[in-house]
Amino acid sequence: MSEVVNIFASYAPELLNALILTLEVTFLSFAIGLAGGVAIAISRASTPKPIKILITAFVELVRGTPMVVQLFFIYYALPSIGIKLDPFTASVFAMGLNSAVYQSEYWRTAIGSIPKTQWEAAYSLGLSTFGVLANVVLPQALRIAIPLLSNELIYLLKFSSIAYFVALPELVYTGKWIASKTFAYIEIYTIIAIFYIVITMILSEILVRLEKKLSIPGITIKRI
Amino acid sequence: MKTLLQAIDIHKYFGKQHVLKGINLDVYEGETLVIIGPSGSGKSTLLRCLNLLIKPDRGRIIFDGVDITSGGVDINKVRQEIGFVFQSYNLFAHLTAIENVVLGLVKVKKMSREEARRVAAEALLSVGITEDLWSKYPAQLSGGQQQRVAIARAIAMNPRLLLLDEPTSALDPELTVEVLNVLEKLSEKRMTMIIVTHQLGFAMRAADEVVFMEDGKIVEKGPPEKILLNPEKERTREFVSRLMELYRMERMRRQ
Amino acid sequence: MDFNQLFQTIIFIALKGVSNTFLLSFGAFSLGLGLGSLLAFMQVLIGGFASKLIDFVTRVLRSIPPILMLFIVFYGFRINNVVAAIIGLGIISSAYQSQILRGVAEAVAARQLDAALSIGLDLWGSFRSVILPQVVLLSIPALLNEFTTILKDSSIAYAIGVVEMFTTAINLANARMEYAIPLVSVSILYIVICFGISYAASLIHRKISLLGYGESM
Repeated sequence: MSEVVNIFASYAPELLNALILTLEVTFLSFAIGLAGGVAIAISRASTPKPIKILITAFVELVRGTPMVVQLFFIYYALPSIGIKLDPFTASVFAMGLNSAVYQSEYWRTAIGSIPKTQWEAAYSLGLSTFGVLANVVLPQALRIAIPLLSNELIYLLKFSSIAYFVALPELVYTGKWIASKTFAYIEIYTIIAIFYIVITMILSEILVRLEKKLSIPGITIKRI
Repeated sequence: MKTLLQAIDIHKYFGKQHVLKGINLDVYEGETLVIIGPSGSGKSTLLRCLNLLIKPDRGRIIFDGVDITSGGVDINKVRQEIGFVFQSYNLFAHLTAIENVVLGLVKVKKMSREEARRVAAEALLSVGITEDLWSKYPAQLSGGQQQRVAIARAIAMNPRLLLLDEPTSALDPELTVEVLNVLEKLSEKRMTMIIVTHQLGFAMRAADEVVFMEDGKIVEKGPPEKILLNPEKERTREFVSRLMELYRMERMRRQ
Repeated sequence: MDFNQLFQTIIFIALKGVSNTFLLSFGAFSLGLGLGSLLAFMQVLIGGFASKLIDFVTRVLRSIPPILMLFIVFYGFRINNVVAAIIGLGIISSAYQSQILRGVAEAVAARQLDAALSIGLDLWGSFRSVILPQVVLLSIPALLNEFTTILKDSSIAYAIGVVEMFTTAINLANARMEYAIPLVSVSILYIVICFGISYAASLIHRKISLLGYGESM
């Protein structure tokens, strides 16, 4: 136990930096995924057929391959066509893209569950399609999608660890680095695991509160 | 009298099904027009065609002298002038009663929030929705209250024409009365309205004209006394007498 | 892109990597299924404190990144890397599989337990001859999806040097100093396998719907 405390004390700054990097990658990729997910969900419903097929193909491509493959493609294969990204940007970009695809499915389900009559009522007031989406459909869809989005955020927190593969000093990479110096593998990996467990619990708690705060009588949130 | 809306030879198909088979209709400014007819006769479809929620396959709709079925007309602009009240109320589930009314005023009419709230408050009070209900969500209101908020949402936009699709048929009888009273008041104030309803008492009192529709066609139209008491066509007579029977039973049960 | 080279690369990766990818996936899935069933049925049958404890444990397991789990098992217990990957991925999967099985079991029990008891079966009899067969059948689509998740996650075993499909692709790429073709090749392999399994899942799902169970399963 004293070993754990020792390691923790002597590598505190590195661990703190790693924690910040992990959170940065997680939240940034979630934000990209949110914007991209809504955009994909809406354009899959409304754009002309050829574009729709392209988007569907992209969605299936991302869903059918591991996130590591996507990250390696962006980090190692893109430079051959002149796009060089640093590890942080590449990780955020890869995870954001991946998340956009998964979030688009959640948004599609949520938007699809808003009754057609809500669209009719909004159109009858003279709102444009964009106005209907922004003021009536998306605010309701958000409340239905929140539990799924919460899961997605926690999933991203875990999967930010794949940035290890491109040598981004986030929690897992930093853990391995400390382990290689101290040989205290079990201890340091336990510390790292506890980091993830605690952040997950804090995030879950915040998200449950957010869900409660945003909840509106009559809009049912389907638990999965 | 000035014609506000004119529907000329409206046809609508759903797949192979011919739902509207050449509807011609004139609506004058300030009149209350009631449409009756058996279910499946195309009444709701016709109403939705008039504000282009459904696009008719053939025919023209002239609103205030403008052909709104021709391209080049901003349909969102037209819809601002035509209010719609739905059978199932369709209040925005994520907004409170007053916010339901405010939304269109702010986002479509571009009013400031204070002004919109003032207009909304006035509209809500005019349909008997008192201040204690303003911050309730739709799910927390009774059906009658929800429908009155929906009417307030429509009239707050100050429309030239109000379309109402069976506004009371989802309501319990005792709640029907509170909604019908609101509609009668609007009719007295000469709001131009097209109402699909089977409330014969209301039609008798408030309608200027009653239209009987069946199988996608207008069978007969005329003043309420004629259509409801002394129709020309056999089909109208059958339908009205059946409605009268139901109406009488309804009244007996209530007494 | 040179299609001949792409084709050859796909074949190379398939020959060298597919066996280990499937070994990891099936191994981890089976371990997850065994542990997951145990956890799920303990929760359903015992309930109370045991259920809460298992809830906590599965929540903890679901918040640990797979790569970290592999490091813990591999460096912590100093075992063979293939075995470490199977154990690491399997333990994490058990948390997800127990959730799937528990959800289905509770849904079935809610609808069928009273009926089973009322025809005279005892609790164990009801469970064995009425509930369990339905749980097995109804869980299949969700479990197949979990399998595709494990299959994709097995690429993480690259971190501890297991030569599965992804590692093969990366080794090839490093040797050739060219990443696009190996990565595209391995992507195609993952997509084909995942699609096959997803397709099977949707077929089974449709068959099950015909038995009168709704979308909620």
